[in-house]
Amino acid sequence: METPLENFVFPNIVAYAVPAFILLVIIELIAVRLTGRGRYEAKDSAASLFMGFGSELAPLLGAGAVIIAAFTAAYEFRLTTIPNVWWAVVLCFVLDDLRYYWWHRISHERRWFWASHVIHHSSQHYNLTTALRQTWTGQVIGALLFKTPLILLGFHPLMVIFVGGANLIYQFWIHTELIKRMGPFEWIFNTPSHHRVHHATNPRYLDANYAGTLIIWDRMFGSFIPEADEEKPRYGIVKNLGTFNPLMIAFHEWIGIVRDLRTAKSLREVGGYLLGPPGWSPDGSRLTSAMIKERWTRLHGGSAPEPTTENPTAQPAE
Amino acid sequence: MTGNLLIDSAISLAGIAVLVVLTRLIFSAPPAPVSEAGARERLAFDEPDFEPQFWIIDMGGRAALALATTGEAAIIRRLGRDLITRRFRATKATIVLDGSPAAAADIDHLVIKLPDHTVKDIKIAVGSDMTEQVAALQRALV
Repeated sequence: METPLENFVFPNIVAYAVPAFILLVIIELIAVRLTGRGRYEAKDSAASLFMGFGSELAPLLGAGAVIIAAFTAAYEFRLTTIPNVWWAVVLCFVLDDLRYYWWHRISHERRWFWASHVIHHSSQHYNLTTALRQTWTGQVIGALLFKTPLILLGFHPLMVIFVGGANLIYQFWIHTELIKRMGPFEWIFNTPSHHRVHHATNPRYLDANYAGTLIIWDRMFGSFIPEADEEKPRYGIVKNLGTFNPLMIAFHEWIGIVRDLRTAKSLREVGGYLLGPPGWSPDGSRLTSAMIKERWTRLHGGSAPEPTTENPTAQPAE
Repeated sequence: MTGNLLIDSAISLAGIAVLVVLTRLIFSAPPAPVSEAGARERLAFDEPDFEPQFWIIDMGGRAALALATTGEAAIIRRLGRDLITRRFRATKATIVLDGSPAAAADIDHLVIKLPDHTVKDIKIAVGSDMTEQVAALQRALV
């Protein structure tokens, strides 16, 4: 018999997770120092943590109210009413993870969305503080475009917000170099190894592994690349920032867009600068990820490793 | 936490400060100066089709400038413990060579200003053993 959860109040699990985040960062700091597996730097961590702090404040400037209003309105037009029961929460989580995959992929492939997401990738380090380096912008459009469909399907807005928070919490621990491989777990779930590839700027690793919790979406949609032992990931963005200034971290790509739009000579160029892939330019003078991969192929001969849908042979867990 | 935004923000910032101080204490070694080998390696990763012919290494270990015969240049600059790269045509940047008259042997530092809002001006202190490289830079700027 299904247990109705009409009186269930979805907790703000992200807020509850913060003490655990702090504890795990401290544990990782010590473990990295002792093992040498990973890197930390005070200025980089300070920037990451301050970006996380700012990302929690941003909704309070109005974005949160807009999102809540939009979700509430969308729920009025739902196709059906999905009850607040445990299996609905599970189903919502899986569908929201699918939502996350596509939002995340588009955020890498379209500059308008990249301008918000690039913040998270802007550190050359990969540790638990990197997980907290979150964007100050893009929350409204991201929520409206990608989460509203779930509400229109019939999932309660509070459930959608809750599972989204759970997804973010899952992704915290995968931002580490301490954990190598995890065997069969990696067939289904996103792991530190899979996500290191995602954060890497090595040409072979660019634009891959967009998963939130379930790596199955990358396998399904052809964006999966396994971590190769012979090529250690190097983190950051293709053109790494020359500053730890949080304001520049938060807004540098938006500034770049404005500067480019000022030089646009046609609607095509406007469209390219706004919605083309990051690195697009009318004269091809800058490099998109595809061009970087092509250059790698040209210089090294043969073909660059392409994303795969095939399951890898299980790696021995360490 | 408390429900009061100001107090919660202050607690959050205090927590951040604690973590940053801990990081600073645990990882306290100063960053290594920029060397030609390190700069070359970083440049090879970021710009694998750039073939440097001359290197000008900052005496303070903050940056390195690479010049190619194609008229292109690349700056490899330290950011904390890491390096960043910017590739550009030497004539597209503003490169100020301090020391007039413009005899290469009299140049003791140069300032590179890139049309890039994510990178500040880069100053390179030039040693007396870099005369040939500075002369190459002067030719590239013509």
